[in-house]
This record gives sequence, C-alpha cells and structure tokens, in this order.
Amino acid sequence: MIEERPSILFDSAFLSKLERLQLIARRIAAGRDRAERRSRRTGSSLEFADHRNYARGDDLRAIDWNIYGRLERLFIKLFEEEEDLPVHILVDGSASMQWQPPRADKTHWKKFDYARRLAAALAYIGLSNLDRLELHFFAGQLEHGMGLARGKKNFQRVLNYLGNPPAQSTMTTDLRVSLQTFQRKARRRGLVCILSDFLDPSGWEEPLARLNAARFDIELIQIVDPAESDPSQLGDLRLTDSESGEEMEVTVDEKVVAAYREAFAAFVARLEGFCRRHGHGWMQANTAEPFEDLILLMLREGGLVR
Amino acid sequence: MNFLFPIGFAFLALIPVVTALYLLKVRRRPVAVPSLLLWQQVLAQKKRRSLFQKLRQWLSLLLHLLILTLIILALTRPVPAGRAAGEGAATVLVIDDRARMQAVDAGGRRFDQVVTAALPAALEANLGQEVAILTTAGQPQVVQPFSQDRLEVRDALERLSPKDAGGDLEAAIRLASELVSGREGGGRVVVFSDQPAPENWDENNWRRIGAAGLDNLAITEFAARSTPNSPGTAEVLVEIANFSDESRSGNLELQLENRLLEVRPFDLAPGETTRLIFPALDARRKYANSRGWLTASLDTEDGLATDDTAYAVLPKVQPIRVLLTGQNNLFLERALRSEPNIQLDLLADPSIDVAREFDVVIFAGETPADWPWLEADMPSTLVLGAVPPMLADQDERIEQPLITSQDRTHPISWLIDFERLAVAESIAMNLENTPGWSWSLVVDAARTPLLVAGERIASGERLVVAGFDPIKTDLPLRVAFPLLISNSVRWLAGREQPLETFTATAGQPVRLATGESVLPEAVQEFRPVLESSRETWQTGTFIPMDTGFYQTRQEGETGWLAVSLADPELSDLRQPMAAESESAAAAVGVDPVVKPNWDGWLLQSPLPLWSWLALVAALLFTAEWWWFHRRRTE
Repeated sequence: MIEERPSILFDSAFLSKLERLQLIARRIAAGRDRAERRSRRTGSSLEFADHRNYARGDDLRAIDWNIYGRLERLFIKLFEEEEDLPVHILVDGSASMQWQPPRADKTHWKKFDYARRLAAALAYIGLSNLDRLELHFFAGQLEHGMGLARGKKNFQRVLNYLGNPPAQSTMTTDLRVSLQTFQRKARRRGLVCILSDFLDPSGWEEPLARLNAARFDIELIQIVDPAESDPSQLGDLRLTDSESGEEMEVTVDEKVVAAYREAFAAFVARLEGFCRRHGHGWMQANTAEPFEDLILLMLREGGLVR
Repeated sequence: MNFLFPIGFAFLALIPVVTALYLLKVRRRPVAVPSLLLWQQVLAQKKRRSLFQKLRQWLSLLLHLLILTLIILALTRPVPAGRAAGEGAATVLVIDDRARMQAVDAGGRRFDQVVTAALPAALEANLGQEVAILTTAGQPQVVQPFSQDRLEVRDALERLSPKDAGGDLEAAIRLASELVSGREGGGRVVVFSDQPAPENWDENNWRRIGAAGLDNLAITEFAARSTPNSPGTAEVLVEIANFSDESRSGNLELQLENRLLEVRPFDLAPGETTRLIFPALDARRKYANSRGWLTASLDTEDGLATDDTAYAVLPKVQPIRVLLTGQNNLFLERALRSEPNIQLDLLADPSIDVAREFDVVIFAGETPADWPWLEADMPSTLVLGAVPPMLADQDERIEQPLITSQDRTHPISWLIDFERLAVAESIAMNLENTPGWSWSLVVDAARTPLLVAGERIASGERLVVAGFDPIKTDLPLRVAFPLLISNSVRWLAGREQPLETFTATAGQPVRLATGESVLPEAVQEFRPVLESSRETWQTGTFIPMDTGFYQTRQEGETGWLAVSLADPELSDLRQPMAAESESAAAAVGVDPVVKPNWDGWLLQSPLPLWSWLALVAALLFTAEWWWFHRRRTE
C-alpha cells in the first residue's frame, strides 16, 4: 500500500485509483505469463534450460550428478535467466508542457501535470510487474533521472521524483539532444515511453527515427490540451510562443481557426503514421479526459502493457 | 442644395482623425500559445492573401469615412435648392380658429381635426418649404412667420386654440395671398375651415372640416340696463335662437355672480328666435365686492357650447350728490331723501367752491347774488320759488297764474301732469336776455313761464327754475312733487337716460376711452378674489378673443367689460356663413397656387432628407459591424 502523499499532484484519490488500476491490470494479464520476463540467457532461476559440458571454473553445485552416474561425464545444468523488462519513462518538462490556456479553471490540468500523473500510473504498473524502471524529465536536454527502481517498494521514489522534478536547464524542447543523451545512458534496450506534446521546432522525426534504429521499443503518448487543438480566441491577437518567447501578430477569424485545426490534425496524423510505420505504439492523451480511462485503454488494447 | 445648419461641416475635420486612427497600428490582444509552430504554418498560407487583406482594410476605412460623411451631411440638414428658393417654396396655412370651430361633431372637436389635418403640411417645412400660419379669429393674425423649421411650425400649430370670437375668413385669405405673392417663387395658400371650398380652388388647398350641419341653440343677445323710472332696478334682455330643424326646449338660467336669480323655461320652434325680458331686477349691489356679473346660460346640449352662455354687467348706478341750501324746506328735504339714488347734503350758505363738488345745487325761496348765474362754470342748479337776477322780469309777481301749456316731452315733466296745478303766486320770468342758452318752457302760463329748463349750448351747464314756491301750491300733497324733484335732479345731473351697460361681441374691436385700460384676460367663473397672471394692461383699441369678463381701469376705478359671442351667423351651424369663402376667392382672384416644380418622392416622404441620410449611415454602420464580426473588414 502507498502510505504517504508526496505532493498535491498525487493525492489520496489518485493513489486509490492506482490501486484499482493494478487489480484491473492483473485481471487482464491473467492466463498469461507472470510479469517476470524470461530472457534467452541462462541464469539462476529454477527453470531448467539445458545442459553443457563442464568446464573448469564452473560452479560445482550446477553439475548434474544423475547424468554423471549414467554417462560418467560431467555436465552442467543450465537454468533460464529470469530477466526484468527495462521501462524508460521520459516526461517532457518543457515550457509548452507548462502552458495553460487563459482563463482556465481549477479543474483544468496542465499538460505537464497530466503527464506526470500518467507517468506515475505507468510506473506503478511497471513496478508492480517487477520491471526495471527508469524515469527522466527532458526539455532542451535529458535531465538527471530517478535511477533504477524495481518493485512496488520503490514507488515512493517515483512519486518523489515526479512530484519534485529537477530544475530544467532550458525550457525549450529539443528531442534530438534529449534522446541522444538517453541512448548513450540507457544500458539496456527496452520500452521507452515518451510523454510529450512533441512541439519541437527542430522536429521530432529524426530523433525518434534514431531511437527506432537503436531497437528501442517506443511508445509515444502525445499530451494534448483541448485549447491547443481547438483554439477559441478570435480577433487581433499577438501570439507569444511559450518556449521561445517569439511573438507573432495574427488576425484570427473562423477561417484561420479552421486552418489551424487542419494543421494540428496533420501534425497528429504525421506522428501517428510514424509510429504505425515502425510498429510502435501511439496514443493521444487529452488533458480533459480522466487519466485512468487512458490507462485502461492502454491495458485493454495491449499496446503498452504486455 | 441648401444647408440649414452649415456649421455642421466643421465636423469634416474628423475625417483626418478617423484616417489617422486607421493608420495607427491596431492594438492586439496578447495571447500565450504553447508553440508558434503550427501558427506559422497557417500564417504562411495566409500571406498568400495579403493583398486581399490590405484591400479589406481600405474597404473598412472607406466605409467608416462614408458613414462619417453621411452623418455630417445629415447634421447640416440639407434641403433641395429648388424647394428652398424656387417655385412652390412658400405655403401659408390659413387656420380657421373662429368660435364655430369649437363645434363638436362625430369626428370630435372641429378645431382638433383642423390641427390634425394641418400637421402634415408642417412637415414640408423641413423640405425647404417655407411655411407660415395665419389665423382668422378677430382680425387675421400671423401666428407663425415663414419658417423652414418643421419643429417650430409644428409647435406653433399645436399651440393654437380656437377662440370664442368671430372673424373674417375673407380678410385672412386675402392677407395670405398677399404674403405668398410677396415671396420669391410664389407659393400656395392652404385653408383649413368648415366653410366649403370655392369652385375655382384646388381641393388639395382647401381642407373642409365638418361639412355636416349641426343643430345649435344660442344666446344671440344679452343686455342689461337700469329701469328708467327707478335707477335702483334693472331690466335684462336675453335673446335665444334655435338654429335647428327641430323644436327645442330648455331653461335659461340667469345668475348674478354666484347667485341664481331666475330660471326661465323656453320652447322654440325650428329656426325661431325669442326674447326673454327680466324686469325689475334689484340693481343695487348689495355686497362690497360685487362686480355686477350677470351670466345667462342654457341648460341644453347642442353643437356649440360657446354660445350657450352669455355675459353682461349690471349697470352700476352712481348716487347723485345734491346740496340743498336754505332752511325750513321740510317737504323738499323729504322728497329728496325718498329718492334712494340721491345723496343729500344740507348747507345754509355754501360757497361756490363747495357747491361745485356737488352734482346738483338747490336754492329754495332765494338766490344768492354772487352765484355765477348763466356763466360757463355754473354748477347745475335748481331754483324753486325764486328767480335768478338776470331772469327776473322787473320783480313782477303774477297772482294765480293760468297754466297754458306743458312740455310733456321734457324729462322733467315725465309722468307729471301740471295742468291742474294750483299756484298761488309766481315770479315773472324773462328769458330774452340769456344769450348762449337754450330754454325749454316746461310749464308755461299766461304772462310768464312757470317752470323752465335751460342748458348752456357751448358747455352744457343746466339750470331749472320754478318761479313759484312749491310749498305754496298743492304740489307737495301730490305724487307729482317727488317726481318733479327727482326728474329735475336727474336731468340736472345728466342722468335722465337709463343706464345701459355695454356688452361687447367677441372678435369685434372695443375702443377704450381715454385713460381707460383693460386687462386682456377673460374670467368666466366668479370668484371673490381674482388672481391674474397678466399685468399688462392694454389701452386704445382692444379685441377680446374670449367670452367672459375683462377687468377695466380708469382713473383708479375698476370696471368690467362683458364679452359674449352673440353672433347668429357664427352660431348657425346648419349652413356655411354667407358664402364668405366665395367672396374671398373672388377677391383673391384664382386659387393662388403655384405648383412646385420639385415633386420628388421626398415631398411625399414623411421624413426629411437628413433623416434619410442618417438612416443610410445607420444601415452602413450595421453592415460594417456585421462584416467586422465576420472578419470581412478589419
């Protein structure tokens, strides 16, 4: 059980939802293998894998004495190595994720907060499945991560990390630098969940393509604010980029809004298309929707949790 | 095109201001967005339409300048030049506001119908038409000079009210025609009356209101006068006419101030006129504040209420101040005191200055030698039993003179028979040496006149001389004695004629006496205390326009002038008034209409040109506002 609340972001209601999610996740995963993954490598588990000839230096405890009695030759029993799944959750902490539409009410979630709650939920499920979990924030570059964690006992660390994100060195999104750094740091390939709005002026395709080439299993969760996908403000506006501070004067009428919607839909379609082409998962998370619905959807469709 | 408010063009200075505001950069609303990434893509597409954007801005500026120009033009109140100075530029509305127009028929009060019918003509004032208004009651009066201000003309029209007076429609039309002919470009005269249009007049220029005849009862005469033989009483004459085709009956009520004196029923055949006489009304004003207001009113309902009430003033009988000289004139004194209208004073030997303060001086039995006998400043004098020195005929006395004749026409001998008078003795009189005097031998006898009445021809001094002493006759024992004294005193005081009060007819000029002034405000209801809003007293000739009582003032003394309608022609609502419109048309010539040469739709339009301009500006403004919100203009 989760005992304490590190911040208002993860209140008791949120934590109780996570508990419920875990039960649901177990039910869905019933009949399949346990959460622990068997790797191709032999190891020290109880599951027999094979025999091989004894070589000097092998552990004498692994000699199969039954075969030696029948064949008088020394064989070593090989057991399957039980391997945990490395899960990397990368949360975009750039200024665009911190953006909130004007006159937003108290129930409106910032994309960043929504992403953090989503990340916590995913981490909880991962830890419950005894996966090796790594958390990172990124913006202009990859920030210092939480460190490896395994088992539910580490969930408090997760909450602490997500609730108190490290100070960002820069608030401008740069997927290329951030993912390159991640690739260098990641010791084992595994599942990479990237929670971001992917509004990178320098482009998201090239960094993701590199990650794909490095044989990472990629899951993109695009965080979208409703006001971002469907702007409602009309008139003579001076738009300010929340990341760069760049300004642009534009007169917004219904036609311009329609053109913007089209541009946004095309942007989403490109992102989704990329994922489908390369066999990766993609989901769009709307901050207006309850995050647990999104998690359930992920679990049911099996795209993210296996 | 003429402009009634050209100062409005000063607002054209706003055009550069509007343009400058347009050239200034639009203050845009700052809005933070997550990223400009997508907006830049959209803007890149939008730039392809930048030329159209600029055109839209210019279109918006053009629209605003057009709206501003239209508003300024409306402000200057433009009128078509043809209407302002050309033909048909002037219209004179002749409004019949005579008493007849107070008649009420099915459409309401006729005058109200006149105003309603005349109001559309006032609208033409804003179309460059110059409109003037003339009324007919009393004398033709220009109540609104030529004006192009619709509001001014309309207000003048709405301020009008019907008068209680008659008037001359013909004179009004003639005056209107002269006004129009004096205008450059001519014009037209539009008459609003209950009289029929003459044959040669355009019906559009003669609006007849109340063509249907109405039944009416009217008081056509109302007069009061003091009774000749009794100044303390008065008699009243009321004439009632039935101007209808049916018999009418009712009651006539006679009121003195707030007191009902008498109610007299009447029954009149169609078209009949009757006279009611109220004799021997107590003419003495019993109250200190009495003004002698007499009101006669009919209790019937008919077409015109104004002539159902008439006003008159009871004659105010002034006492005659009489000075009796001498002593032991008991019979004479009693006879004088029995006359209520005589104010008697006794003085044994008055000086001439004291005597001049009296209306009549009586000498009995003796005559003072220092009296200005037969001179120009002699007071009116009655001499009994004596003869002034210049009339005495050698102090001869005639014993038992034989009366030969009596002048019964002379006021002194009114109701007296002197033929059987027994006179013991009389002083002989000789009237030959009295140049400048006219004598009447009231009672003549053989050898000498007994009673003479003389009047100085040049200055009107009067003298009555009885050569016999009435005490030494049988006269004091007869009724004739007080009559002789009363007749003589009244004749000497100039009161031989009964007092008759003057009742004026509304609309007719009243020539006021020298020093007399009138407060031109009619009062109809008697109130003990009068409060007048006017302090302007009028002198000279005064034309009362309303019936009622008008206060007059002369030498500090207050009087009252009664004014009634009393015009049978005005009261007869069954038919037009003696074809006066025909005579007016004949006098004017033909219908003085000059057809306007500018018969555009604006003439028929209920709105002036500036209103149309303002309307277009409002429509453009609405369109611009709609386009702005549709982002058609920015």
